[in-house]
Formats: sequence, structure tokens, C-alpha cells
Amino acid sequence: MRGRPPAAGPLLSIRGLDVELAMPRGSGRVLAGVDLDVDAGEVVGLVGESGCGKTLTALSVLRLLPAAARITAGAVCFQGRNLVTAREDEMRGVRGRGIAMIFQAPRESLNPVLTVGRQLELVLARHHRLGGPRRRARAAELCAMVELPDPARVLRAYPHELSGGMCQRAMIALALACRPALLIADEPTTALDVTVQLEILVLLRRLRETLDLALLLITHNLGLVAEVCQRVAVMYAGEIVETAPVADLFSAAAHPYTRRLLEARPRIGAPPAGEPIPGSVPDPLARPVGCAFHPRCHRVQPRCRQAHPEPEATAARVVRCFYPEVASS
Amino acid sequence: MSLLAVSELSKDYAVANGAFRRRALRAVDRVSLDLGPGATLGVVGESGSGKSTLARCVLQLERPSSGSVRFDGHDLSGLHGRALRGMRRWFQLVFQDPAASLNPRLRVGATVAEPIVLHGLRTGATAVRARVEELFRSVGLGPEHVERYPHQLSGGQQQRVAIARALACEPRLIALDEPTSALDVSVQAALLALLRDLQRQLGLGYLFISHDLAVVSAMAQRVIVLYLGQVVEEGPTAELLARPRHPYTQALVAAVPRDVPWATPARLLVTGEPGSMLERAPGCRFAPRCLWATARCHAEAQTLRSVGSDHRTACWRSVEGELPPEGLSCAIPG
Amino acid sequence: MRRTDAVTLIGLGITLGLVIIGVLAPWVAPMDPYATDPARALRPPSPPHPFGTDVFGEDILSRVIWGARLDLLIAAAAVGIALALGGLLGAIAGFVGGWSDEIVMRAMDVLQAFPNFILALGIAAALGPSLPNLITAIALTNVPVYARLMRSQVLTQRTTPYALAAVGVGNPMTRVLFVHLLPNTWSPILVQATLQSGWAILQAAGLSFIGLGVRVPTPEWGVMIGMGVQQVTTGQWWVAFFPGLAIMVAVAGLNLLGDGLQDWLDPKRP
Repeated sequence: MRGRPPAAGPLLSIRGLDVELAMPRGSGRVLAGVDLDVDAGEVVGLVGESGCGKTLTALSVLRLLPAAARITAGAVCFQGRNLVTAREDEMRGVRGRGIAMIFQAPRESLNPVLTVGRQLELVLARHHRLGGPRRRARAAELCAMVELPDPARVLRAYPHELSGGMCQRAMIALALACRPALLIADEPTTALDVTVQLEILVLLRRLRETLDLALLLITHNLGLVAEVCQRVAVMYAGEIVETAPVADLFSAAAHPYTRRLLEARPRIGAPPAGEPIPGSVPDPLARPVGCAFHPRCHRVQPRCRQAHPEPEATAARVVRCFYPEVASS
Repeated sequence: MSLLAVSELSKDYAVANGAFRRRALRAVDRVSLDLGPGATLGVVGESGSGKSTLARCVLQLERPSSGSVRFDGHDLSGLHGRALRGMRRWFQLVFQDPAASLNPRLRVGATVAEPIVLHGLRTGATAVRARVEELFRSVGLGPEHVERYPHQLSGGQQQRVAIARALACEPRLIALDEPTSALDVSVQAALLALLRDLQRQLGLGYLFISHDLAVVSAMAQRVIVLYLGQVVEEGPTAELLARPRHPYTQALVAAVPRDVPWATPARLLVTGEPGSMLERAPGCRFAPRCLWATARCHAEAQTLRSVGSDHRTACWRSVEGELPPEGLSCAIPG
Repeated sequence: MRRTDAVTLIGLGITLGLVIIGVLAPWVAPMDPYATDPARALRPPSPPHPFGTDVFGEDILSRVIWGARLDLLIAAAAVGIALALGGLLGAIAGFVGGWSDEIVMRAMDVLQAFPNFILALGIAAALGPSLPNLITAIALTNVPVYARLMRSQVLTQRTTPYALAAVGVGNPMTRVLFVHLLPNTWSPILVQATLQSGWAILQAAGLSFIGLGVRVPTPEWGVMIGMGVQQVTTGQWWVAFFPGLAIMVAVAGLNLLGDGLQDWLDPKRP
């Protein structure tokens, strides 16, 4: 691990984050009281199905929310600064430099009219003010770091000329160009084949070690999370319903939603999955009274319908449930 | 009599090569498969494997360049026009992107009603309407959904409509091209359960295409594995996934994420990307990326040979026992 | 109300207003548009001629009102013909492809190789100045736009999964084209037609202005501007001004309506 001083607290600390989204039909809360920590050098997974708010959480950290969304409460502390209240010029210094982000469809996230090399150079020029030859050397160094085969060809190529896996590596190179402390990866392998996915995961693990990089991995794929992450946070309807070390989560998930989600996955060699989760994700404009998950929960009790559970911490876990599951499945 | 018998099916596309010349891109290369009534055959492959093209050619949505497709004994390549349209009701396709597969300007009830009317399966508006509602119920949707437009439904609901449309023809075979890839895990589980129920009730045959081995394992009794348009391995699902006998299949199985955290050594059995389909190297198409490749692999074209009951592989080294059954577990640092 | 909705309504209001005025011209116009009165020639705007009179003593207000009827008729007919013919050709080219595509598109290329107005001028000159010939000339010059638009729409829609599904359930090709593809193509075409109607009015006015469309003394806005052009330099600005203003209002209204229609027709509109 290179010479970073030991951090006093978490590298990134999100507390009580609320985000509202204005839609033509009205305004609804899409993130409610999100608490999430990422320590320096740690890999944290943020898991949930579509519409749960995980991408919005990431965009909130970097203040890249769409115009219709607003942060209405909460704080995002990064390296001693609250990013929610930071000025825009301060944020520009954080984006790319302190925190970098990679996105789901790599080919669509790269500028289609610039070569990969040019895009890398632009990022380097923006943040580091390196001269021409040193920029090129650094670009080549980055390509080697992300294990791009034939770096010279890739740097000259346009995104549409590269495969999905290579575009994703290029995007990782772009993100790491300025040695950020935290990399947020939003569904980095969803659009990729499973063999390519494994390569990218291996790469991310390796980079984390050589660069002392903290990683926030956002995905709907629970299997991925087990491979790469040390801690996992599960989101449902804009709330974090469970946070736990990954081994604990997979062996004995506490929140009923997590438990059912784990069971719902088809597994090789296992009999077909049991009861799927009934119902569907609530409309942000019509959040249920009480626990957000209660209409679909197999353990629902009267209290769940009236009171809203707050996060309860036990040992290394945090669970938002009045009647969490106990012991192993 | 098998429901679907495909023999040596190939599909070529003409691709511009330079300003004036054209080359043939062989998207599907002499694929044969067999499906019995009421059974499910899984077709596994990654991008570029030709699996979607295969489905479209089998269903005659594109005409194969060579080879034959026999449905219930009838040779489909000889059929055109009205005769082919009449046959279409026996085999249907469910697409990967449910939103794109429904006409955005038609209410979903009308979309499902269309095949009923086209094939004269019910007469009179009331009977058709009743049948539409019956179909909606059978896929888990209610009568309130019948008058909706596709964009007013969720992804899972849209896919149910697509399944209802396929069922409206009262087919005997449904091909499903990655039907749940675009959907969430919980929605996927429900849909797969629905598909299994329908198969039990109606005796449908499924051609189930997916890149997701876990899904295929839950749905199919037999599997064929495609790589760059060719079948590299085929066999009973459980057997093939437990003891894969082709290096590519081994790599695929190894790449599936496990629930065992962090400490597992990486199981990277294959790197890089599949080559272009334009290259017509004489030997095995997987050889350039294969950890076991020898000179013979690069020079000699591979054919499928038996390695067990009903289990065939296109790897000669595997046939001759030179491959460990579980493949090589590369301990890559990290 | 959203800004786009307001804009659409303004456009709709203007267009509908002009249509109503045109339809009801015989009852709305205070005077006979052909009634000449040399004694009252070139009166500035004042009662009983709110828009003044022209060189023949005809009431400009009444002529502008009757002009609405004529110009809107010309625009609707010309655009309608162009849309039908061009749309049909484009649909065939896009759907059938192959040689029919090549032939149709090269024919469109030939038509589009001429500057739009010059082509209309040529056709009108060849056919002779009259109302039907004016409509024909404008229609023909606008056919390529619709042909291309329809062709590209059909090509796009043809490869969508739902089109493939329509074939898959057993639809014959004609049903695929008419029931599935075309309803998904006409939205941008309708918008284009609305916007082009404004342009068609300008073309009609332009051709009439130079004498190749309808002739003096027909109450058509272009003709009226032609009649008033000389008077501008001698200080009688109103003869050309009011028909020009009418053209501007009509074209603006049609454009606003066209812009708004684009949003309105989108089935995914919340």
C-alpha cells in the first residue's frame, strides 16, 4: 500500500441522504435517509433492483443529479468536506481527482467522436497539466495498468472500434488517470459477457491492491458482490435496508428482502428457485405507510404497517427491520 | 417424432470488404439440433456466438443460407407466402427487449388479439375478447391491463404480454431469446416459474437461448453451447455443467460468479474477445484463445464426437481424455 | 400549463382562426373583394376601410380575408398531394427495397437537384398560370421531402423487434406495412407537413407575385403584395403591408402548431 496516511474516519460517509425527484405527476422522495460508509481501500457493494435508487446515490455523491432531482437533506463527507454544500468549483476538483466514476454501457459513456487517446489526454491535461510527451507516457502507463492489449492501437481507436470489454478498460483508465481515492463503478459489467465480466472483476481487484483504491460497486447482481466486495449494502425503494460483511450476508441475511432476493436467483445445480417475491416495487409518489417493504414481506406483522423501521446496528451489521430473520437459511 | 429437427443450418451475410469486394460472414455454421415435444433445449453462447441469428433462422424470420429446418416433419425451407404464414402459428418467438417487441401504438390487448384473428382461432369479437382475457390471466395479468399501452407497463409485465401473444397462436414450440436478461432478479424468477408452469400445462417445447448458465440450468434438460456460430458441446444440462468437456464451456462455467467471497482464486480460463467471424482459419475456432491448443487444433477442423451418453464435444483432446474433466483452475494472483 | 402546451395552443389558435376566417369569408368580409371603386383608390387605413384600399379601390381587408381562404386551400391541397404521393413512394422504397428503392430515390434526387423555388417556377411556367397548376407545381416540388422522410422512417421501423414479431405471428407483408409500420411513421411526417404548409403559402405567394400563379385581381396574398410593391416607394405602404402581415401570421401559426404537435403525438407523453 502506497504512502497514504491512515484515515481518521471513513473516506466517504453518507448520512441521512434524502433526494426528491420532480415528475410530471408530482414530486416524490426517491432516496430516504441513506447512510453508507466507505473506508479507505475498502470495497463496498451497493445492491438493489432497478428503481431502488442506487445509481441516484452515486450521482448524489458527485452532485451529478439530473435537473429534476434535488438533495433535500443529509450530508456526504469526503476527505473532511461536505460535498452537499460544496461550491461547484470545489466539486470540479473532487470529480475525477478525489472520486471517479465508471458507468454501465462503456461504449456509450465514451465520447464517440474522440479517440480514446485524446480523451485520456484531455483528462490528464485538465487535472495534472502535464506536458505533451509526459502526457503520452502517462497514457501508455495507464493502458498498461488496465491491461489493454496493444495500447498503441487502442489509443488511436474510436470507441465504436473497440469491444465492450476494451471500452470498459479504457473507461477505467480514464477514471484512474488522476489517482482518485475512491472509484464508483455503476453496473460496470452488466453489458458484458460473463467471461469478460470476470476479467474486469479480476482487474478491479488487482487495481484496488496496487493503487490502494476504495471501490463502491453498484450492481443488481448479487453473485458479483460476493466475488469482489468486503461489505454490502442492500437498497430497496430508496432506503438502505441492510448492511453487512459479505460472508455474513450470504450465509445469514437478516432483512427479509435480502433473504428472498438471494433465494430468487437461479443457481447452477440447484433446483429451480422457490416462491418469487410477490408484488412490485412501490411508486415513489405512493410510498407505503410504515415499512416500505411490508406489502411484499412474508414476515409482516401489524407493527410493520404502522411504524417506519430505523436502522438498528448489531455487531458489524445494520438492519432496517422490526423482525429480522435470524440464524442461517 | 421430434418437434424440431435442425440439420446443418448455416447463415451467411455479405459484408463489404474494401470498396468493391464482398466477403461472406458466417454467423451460424452448420448447427444441428433436435427438440422433442414438451422439452426444453438450452442454447448457450456469448455475444457473437450466433444464438439470436440461429433462433431467427429456425423460425424462418430470416431464411437460412443452407441446411434444413423440419418442424414436426415438415421442411420449412420449401414453404413460402400463405403456406408459411399458416405454419407460423405453431412456432413463436419471445424477444429479449420486451418494450421493443410490442407495437407502441397498439394497446396490448390488440397485440395479443391479432394472432387469434389472423389464424381464425376464435370467431366473433366477443369470443376473441374472452380469449384475450383468458390469455392475460394465464400469464398473471389482469383484465385491467388489456387496454393499456406498452409504455404503461413494467418490463416484467411487458414480457408477460409478449408471452401471451406467443400463446395466442396456440403454438407447440416457443423460442425465447434471452427473455429475462433485461429484467430484475425477482421479476426473472417469477417469469421463469410462469414459463415452467405453462410448459407443464400446455406441453410446449422451448428453445431457450441465454448467456446465463444458471438460468439455463433451471429451465433446460439439454444444452448446446455455441461459439462463433458453431456448436462446441452438447449434452444433458446437469452433466454438461458439472463436467464440461470443452475448454470454452469450462471457461464459461468457471466464470459464473460464486457466492464464496473474496478468497477464491480467480478462475480466469479465457481472456480476450472472440475473434471475428470473418476469419476462416481452418482449425478449431476457439484455438486462438484456448489454453490447451496444439498445432493440430489450429490446423484441423473439429467435429462433434461422443464423450458419454448423449454428450458430445468438438474438442479432440477432450475426447481422448487429455483434458481434466473440471478444467484448469488458474491461480492468477489477486 | 407547460410552455410547450401553451405554444401549441397559440399555434392552433392562430391556424384555426385563419381557417375559420377563410371558410366564413363570404360572411366575414365587409365588402366584395372584387368591387372596384376608382374614386376611392389608394386610401390609407381609415373607416370604412380598416386596411385601406389598393390601386383599383378594392378593400384590402376583404381581400386579405378572402386571401386566407385561397392561400390555406392552396397550402392544404399542395401539401396533401405531396404527402400522399411522396409518402407512398417512400413507403414502397423503404419497405420493398432493392431496385424500387434505387429508382424512386434517384428520381427524388433529380427533383431535389433544382432549387425548390426555381423548380416550382419552371413547372408553373410550363403549365401556365392558374390555380390548379399552381397547386400542382408546389406539390411536385415537395414530394421528395416526404418520400425521403417516409423511406427513412419505414427503414427504421422495419428492423424493430415489434415489426419482426408482427411477421412472426403470421401477418402478411401488407398488414405489417399498413397496420404496424405506418402508424409509427406518420408522427414526424405530420409535423413536417404542418411546418411545410407555411412554406407552401410562401411559395404560392412568391409564384403569384411574379405572375406565375393566380393572376390579378384574384384576392391572394402574393398577388396583393405584387400589386402593392410599386406603391411602397410612393408612400402607400398599406397595400403590400397587410397581405405580408397575413402571410407572416399564418406561417408563424403553422410553425408553432407543428412544433407543438411533435410533443403531442408522442404516445409516451406522460
